[in-house]
Amino acid sequence: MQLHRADRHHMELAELDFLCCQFILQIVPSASATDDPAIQHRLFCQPTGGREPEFERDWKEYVEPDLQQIFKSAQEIVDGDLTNFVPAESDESSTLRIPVKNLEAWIHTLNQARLAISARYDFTEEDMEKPMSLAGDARGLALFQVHFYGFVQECFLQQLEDQ
Amino acid sequence: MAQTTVEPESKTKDETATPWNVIVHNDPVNLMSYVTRIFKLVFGFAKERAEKHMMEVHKLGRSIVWTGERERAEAYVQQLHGHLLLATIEKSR
Repeated sequence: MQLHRADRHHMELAELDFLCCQFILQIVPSASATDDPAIQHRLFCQPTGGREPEFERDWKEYVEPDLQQIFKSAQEIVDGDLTNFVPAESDESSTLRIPVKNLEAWIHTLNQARLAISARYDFTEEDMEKPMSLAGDARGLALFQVHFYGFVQECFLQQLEDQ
Repeated sequence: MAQTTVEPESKTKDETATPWNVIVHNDPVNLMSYVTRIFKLVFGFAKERAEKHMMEVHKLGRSIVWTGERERAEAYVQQLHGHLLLATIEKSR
């Protein structure tokens, strides 16, 4: 995979192989997964750490819908950029162009996907730091996916920093 | 002679005057560069200050990133949650 600035207004992810394409297509589904309480608990954390139950009930009722809307807006932008993306077949490669103005939304959604996957598999600091091995199990692949998203996120952050 | 009622104002003033801390907690997943960027965006910190707080979070597990009125502290926590950082408010000691 190559990640570079295509022109003033676009980033380009080139030479995306089959696995990278599948990971890219999984960004929004991973970020928006709501089937696991651990994901909900991480994405919508307690503002007083449980010290003020009444305040936290109000937060859930009045603030969380706004947060959900922020997350959804970012996901919709990423989804829009992927509308015409043609993923690579097994022995081919693809290219994805992303408008620079959408990088904030990509960074946010990549981050949300990383947090959601990590919450689902209960990844620890130790997991995150140990050398990656594709052991062939779902957990190993999920950790690889988190690191892949982290790499793309880091590249996008660097682009914004350089602007 | 008219009776004067003294309202327990001093206590109320104390309550509202108590400063509140906005605390960001460590998370093994958020990238250091991402946390630094969010501190710059939300609080307008210069790069050095944002990195100092980010390193505190990373090394000590938490960092007090802002102290002041409760209402503004809540607003900051909301913004930080919007960027998916682990943040809480806590009464300043």
